Amino acid sequence: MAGAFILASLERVFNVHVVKPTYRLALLTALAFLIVAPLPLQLHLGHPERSLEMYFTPHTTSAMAMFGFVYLWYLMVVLVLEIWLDYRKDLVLAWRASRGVARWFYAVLCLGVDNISDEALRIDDTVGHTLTIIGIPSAFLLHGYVGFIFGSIKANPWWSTPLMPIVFLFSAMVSGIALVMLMYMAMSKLYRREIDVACVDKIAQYLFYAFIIDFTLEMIDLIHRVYESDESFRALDFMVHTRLFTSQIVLQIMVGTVVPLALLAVTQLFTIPSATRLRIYTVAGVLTLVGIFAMRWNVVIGGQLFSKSFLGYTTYKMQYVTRDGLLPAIALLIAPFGILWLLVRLLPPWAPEPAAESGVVGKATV
Amino acid sequence: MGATFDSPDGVVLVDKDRCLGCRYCVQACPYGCRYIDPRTNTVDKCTLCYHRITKGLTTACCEVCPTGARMLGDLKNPTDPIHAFLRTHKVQVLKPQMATGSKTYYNGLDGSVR
Repeated sequence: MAGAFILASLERVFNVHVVKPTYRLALLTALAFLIVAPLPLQLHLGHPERSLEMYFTPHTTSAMAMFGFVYLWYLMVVLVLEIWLDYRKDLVLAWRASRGVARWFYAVLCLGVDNISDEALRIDDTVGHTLTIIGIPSAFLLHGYVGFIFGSIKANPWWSTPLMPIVFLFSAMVSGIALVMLMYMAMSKLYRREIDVACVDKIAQYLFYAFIIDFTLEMIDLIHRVYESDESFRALDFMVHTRLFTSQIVLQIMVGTVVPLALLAVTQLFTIPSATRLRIYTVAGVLTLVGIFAMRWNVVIGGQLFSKSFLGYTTYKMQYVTRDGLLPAIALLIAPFGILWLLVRLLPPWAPEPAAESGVVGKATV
Repeated sequence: MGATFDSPDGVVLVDKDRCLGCRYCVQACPYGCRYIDPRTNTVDKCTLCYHRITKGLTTACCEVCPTGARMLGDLKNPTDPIHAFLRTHKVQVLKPQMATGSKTYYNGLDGSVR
């Protein structure tokens, strides 16, 4: 989500116009995934019906409880509002053009306001621009906060590092950028639109840069742990070499980081035909997502695999059809794509002027 | 939510009617003292036998310990013999580096208990 939002803000705040074709898609992707993001937590709660209480009885010393407010701020104040302002004109036009139930539906989405005068749209744009500026630190806050939830647990040496928030932030940027890049290519294929290669090139370049920072941070953390070798080191080292070997060394570091980084580096260093380049980006993007998923797995599951006395290990036994088993997990992995499909149908990201859009891209400078 | 709270007597308790079972405190406890009660799907922990100590009794584990190895004292009461015991014995808490402010003291802790 962070990556998707940062990508969107690149165009709007930093005037990187070459990524404009992905602006709306990036916002919709961020929204689709943000809606699903708290659901795994919800399914894991002992009493999910009490989760709303977090908002009615705020408890400021609880990092978990305050996450609700951070999440809600980003979802409602930043993302939904920005998307609404950006699509308001389209929604009003759809409202005017539709009849029956659809007319009511669009009227509700427009909050009953159909003013799309130049003055009103100018205000929308100014507010939207301000929101994007507020949104960047908010996106950082949200993803940094997820890392903080883990990093602040001093009882767990696998999690407890001040680097955790920033590692989570950069890994979220990496996965978000990779996902938007893949979604843009997939959607272009699906809707038979020509892929803007310059746009994908630029996204891949940002992915490469963000990934280098992310990998560097993770390696700093690793080297620091190895060199410091505190009381937890032997227990954690054994865990990485046994239970986490496949998911950490093979999937996260080799397949999910070194290989995609090498692929992206090749595209930066050598002149490669655009069709081949797009294929490389696709493979690198998919592997990146696998790597980031493995990273999250290793943090969450890995942090619970050892005893806090460092004298023994636990076993993670995956269940299948239970509330927090494999089946709901698969459904939750698919859900954001379903929501995105709905959002794209409701709020088409490429409409309304494809010709004008490519014109902008043609003249783009960074 | 604030399901975990300090009682006026200084005992940390969990309100089962407020706990949403997120398990965050289970992860945060350095001593592994918290767990999910499968009957209520909420967190539980040792209550220091709150139902007994508020009636002037000692905890059940202190009561039944065959060798009297466990002892409950009232740190808030300056005349309680626990103060003399803490002054005259080499006591330690578990994981002192965690700075949890634990009040569970071990006499002659040799490091085998973690």
